[in-house]
Amino acid sequence: MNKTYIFSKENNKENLFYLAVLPLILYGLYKNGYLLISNKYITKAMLIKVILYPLISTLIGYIFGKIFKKKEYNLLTFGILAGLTAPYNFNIIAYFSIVIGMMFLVMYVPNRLKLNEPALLISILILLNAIFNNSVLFNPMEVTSYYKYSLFDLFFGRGASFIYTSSIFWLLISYIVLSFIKVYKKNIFIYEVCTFLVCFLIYMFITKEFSTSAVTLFNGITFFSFIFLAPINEASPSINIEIIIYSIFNAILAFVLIFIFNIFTGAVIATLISSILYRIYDIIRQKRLLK
Amino acid sequence: MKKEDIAVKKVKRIDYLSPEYLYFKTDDETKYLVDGKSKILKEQLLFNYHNKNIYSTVSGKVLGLKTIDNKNFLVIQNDYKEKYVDNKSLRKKINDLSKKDILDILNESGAEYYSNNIHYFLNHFDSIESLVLSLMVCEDAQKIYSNVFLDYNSEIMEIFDALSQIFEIKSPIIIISDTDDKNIEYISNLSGMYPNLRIVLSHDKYPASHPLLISRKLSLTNSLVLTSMDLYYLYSVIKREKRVLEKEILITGESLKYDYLVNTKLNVLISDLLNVCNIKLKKDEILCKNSAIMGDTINSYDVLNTEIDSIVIAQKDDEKEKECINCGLCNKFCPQKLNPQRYKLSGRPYPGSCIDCNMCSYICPAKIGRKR
Repeated sequence: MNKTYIFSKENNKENLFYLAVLPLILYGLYKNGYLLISNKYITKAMLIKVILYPLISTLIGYIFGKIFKKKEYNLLTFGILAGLTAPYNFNIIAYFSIVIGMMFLVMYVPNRLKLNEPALLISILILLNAIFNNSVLFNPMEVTSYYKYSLFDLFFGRGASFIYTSSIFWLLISYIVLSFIKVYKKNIFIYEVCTFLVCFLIYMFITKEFSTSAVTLFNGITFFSFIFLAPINEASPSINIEIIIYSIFNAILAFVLIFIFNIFTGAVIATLISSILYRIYDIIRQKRLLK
Repeated sequence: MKKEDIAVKKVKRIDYLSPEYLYFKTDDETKYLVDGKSKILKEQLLFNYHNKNIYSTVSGKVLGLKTIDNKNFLVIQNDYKEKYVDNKSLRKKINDLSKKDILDILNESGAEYYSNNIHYFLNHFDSIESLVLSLMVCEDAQKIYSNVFLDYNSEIMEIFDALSQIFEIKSPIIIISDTDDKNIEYISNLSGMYPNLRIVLSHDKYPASHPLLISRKLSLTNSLVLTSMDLYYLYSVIKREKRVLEKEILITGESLKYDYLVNTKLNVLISDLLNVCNIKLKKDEILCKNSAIMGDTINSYDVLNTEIDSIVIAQKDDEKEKECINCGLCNKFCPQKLNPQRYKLSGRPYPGSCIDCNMCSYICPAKIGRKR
């Protein structure tokens, strides 16, 4: 074996990505499927709706990937990610229109724009959901139960989507798996969490409040944005100092936007803004380089 | 001592010191000092090729000019008698030589062209403050340096010690891979004979064996880093007063069952070397010179010279370049922290501080390469 063989064809990053998402999918099926059936919130027939979004979204991604053969962007992965982040009580026609529209955006927008498409997709979904669906992002059991954010939210997660509203515990497992992918920018999450923690400590110091509402700042949705959305390669920096600045900015902005909007939208909109600002900076820098 | 986590490949030793034909590269402008069909002796001056004197590596007969793969070669047939132009005895004491003597000997013998390190040595002759013998093995192709040291350790240490004394180096250094247990054992026993010798064990992650990185690791300025092969050349020239006409070369590759350590004459065809080792190249295989990562390829119709220390048989990589995915791996692994992505995207030439290790291309998942 050549001891310097660092990058191997056998290190299939796509398989590791699916492996990272698998615990979230299984937990999502448990939270949005088994728990609801066993507590009789939904019937077994309604379970189909739970898994419908991920299945059809994945199928669309697979078909588009085969037809259009865009190797630069893995449409299948995008389809899976899209399906697993949507709350299943979202309007189905609106949802798939958005997914298909996003896929065309990904394929045909000029490459140099390189938007953070998953963050954009989720932002659109959440925004439309807030406008048209009265922000119903919880599954039936979560809606009807006496609901108060508590420390347990960190571990159980709240929300009707599979991976977007998952438990921090499983998200950390996913992060560990993703960190084995050589091209995954694992440092971004570390810097973001540290900055987020510092912001939280400053907030606690100023407000002298350690109520459960403060604890909800650490929720699965924020961690999902930090782990899956912020480190997307094309929309985030690659030089160490730029990664640090981007991560700190993203974390601070996420903290602020969680207060301005809510925990379901704050972090993902922060990621979208950070990515857009980074892209603008990168385009200006490249133009200067080419002069 | 670290244990090898994979089985070490066995090495087959082959002698190829009696090739029938030897090939010396020429061109249309070459002025020959020998006639066709004339008899020649070993180390006889044949011609000057681009300011470099070319000497015969055997005694024999000039057969004439031959074109192989659009290149011209002067072909000599070996008479197997090994008759020298000038039979010289070994120089008894090299420690008594002065710096000027060393410089004259090396210039006269044409040693400047033997390797990049010796070339550097001659260009920075007066400013050398520290001396390092590098036995680092960062990739399979570099195992030759460990093997050459194993085979010629007393000669190499003699010349190393002599150079340290002549250049007044207080503490010469040997830097060695921490997995090279055979050489570590030998060197650790040298402390009695060479009390000023400093031994440094180092990790062997590519490109740690590069002279600049070694100097940086050891915090040295104006340092001269030589491999065991360089010191073998210097020993031949300074002690034996003979030009380098034979050398050891390593042939390795993932598809080979063994590594081949060939003791061979210079100026043989690479294809003849491969035939001696019973190696048949497959269609999708290429030959790399000295390093699979550096990516400098050679042809089987090239001729062996002092610059080729090892031949790596590697798989051809026909994958096309894709668009940069902005993963940052090239930035992460660049030993000079040059941000190779910026140069790749802008098309600007790499700066002078680039050590040409080719790590950025090797690690790139999008296969964006400086060299293919």
